Amino acid sequence: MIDLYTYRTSNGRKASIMLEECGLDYALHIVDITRGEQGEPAFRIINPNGRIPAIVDREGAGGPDSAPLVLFESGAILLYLAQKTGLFLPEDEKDRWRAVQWLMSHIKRLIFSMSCKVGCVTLYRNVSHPVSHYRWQEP
Amino acid sequence: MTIDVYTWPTPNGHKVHIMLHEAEIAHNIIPINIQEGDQFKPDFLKISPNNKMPAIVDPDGPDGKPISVFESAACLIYLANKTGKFMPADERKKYDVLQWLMFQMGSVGPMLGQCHHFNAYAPLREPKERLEYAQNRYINEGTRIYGVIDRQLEGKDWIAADEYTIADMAIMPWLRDPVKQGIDGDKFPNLMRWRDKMWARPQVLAALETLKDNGRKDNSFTDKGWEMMYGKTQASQGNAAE
Repeated sequence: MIDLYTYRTSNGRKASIMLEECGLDYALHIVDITRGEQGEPAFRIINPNGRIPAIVDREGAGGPDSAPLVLFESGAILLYLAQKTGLFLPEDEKDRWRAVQWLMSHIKRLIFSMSCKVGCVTLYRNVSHPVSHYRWQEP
Repeated sequence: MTIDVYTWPTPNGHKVHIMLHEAEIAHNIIPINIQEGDQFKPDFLKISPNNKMPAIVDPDGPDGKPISVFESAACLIYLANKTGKFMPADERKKYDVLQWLMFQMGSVGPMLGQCHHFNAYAPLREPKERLEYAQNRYINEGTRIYGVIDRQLEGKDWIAADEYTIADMAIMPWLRDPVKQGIDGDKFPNLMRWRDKMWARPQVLAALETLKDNGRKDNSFTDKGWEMMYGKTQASQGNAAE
């Protein structure tokens, strides 16, 4: 189960679309930014930047460490959910990097309400693995 | 293999320059003079369709063939993946780094960039009374962002994952001149301690020398430079309807 802290903004909807498209089970928590709820101490524990969206994955990031994972920034959330589910994430490495570059571009353009081309979404894995710098390991 | 780096001495360029020096990656600097409009040349557009530096071309890509990557953070992630440096392998730590890297891309860069523009550049060409709203709006947001970073660094040496990562490299170049951003840096002692420690690293100092003689010595712009950076040249890209 994933807790989604969000509001009906462009950035909030990025996380909502991904959760729905992935068919993930999630609990919706509205953070009303028109009333300043993003600045309240309880939410700042989740996101020190005081911005929606943020998620808490109660299952954690997998592996031996299964403690809940708290994550903010819409781009990081998209990357995490893509890796968690293996969905919307090209297998081909070149395609992955192309998606990453368009994701990064899109994050900045959206800030200024400029038109953007959304690449949905990718993630590199296992960065520090000494023998597999070029290999993306399956989760 | 030598990586081609299409760049200019700006904060986003320096993010990649720092990584190249810290990870000791052989590279070849190719200047993209953004005041002369190099970023709009067709050859560069093939590498960076967003008309922005930096971009990299690695002749030895994931499949052994050349790969190009634009967007500074995508370049940082690519280089971290390629070298296995400055990005933890642990999944939890990795996402800690990624969320702070995204915070840089979404907040630090765009907002402090506007702080700089409206406080240091726009007054050169616009009357004061037209700028007051924008200056206040971005100084408020910029000051908030400095505060977020300062709180994050309380009792810590690094931004994320308790180690030196690409998140630090992405944020630091944007914090070198708070005065020009209209922000009082002295109010953020944790931030300044971390920034200055990083700024003293030989690798960072070497990175900041990249194309140094090409950077602006002062706030002045030529008319052409101003047009290329902020004028209608921007809007005429991408086949936008007139």
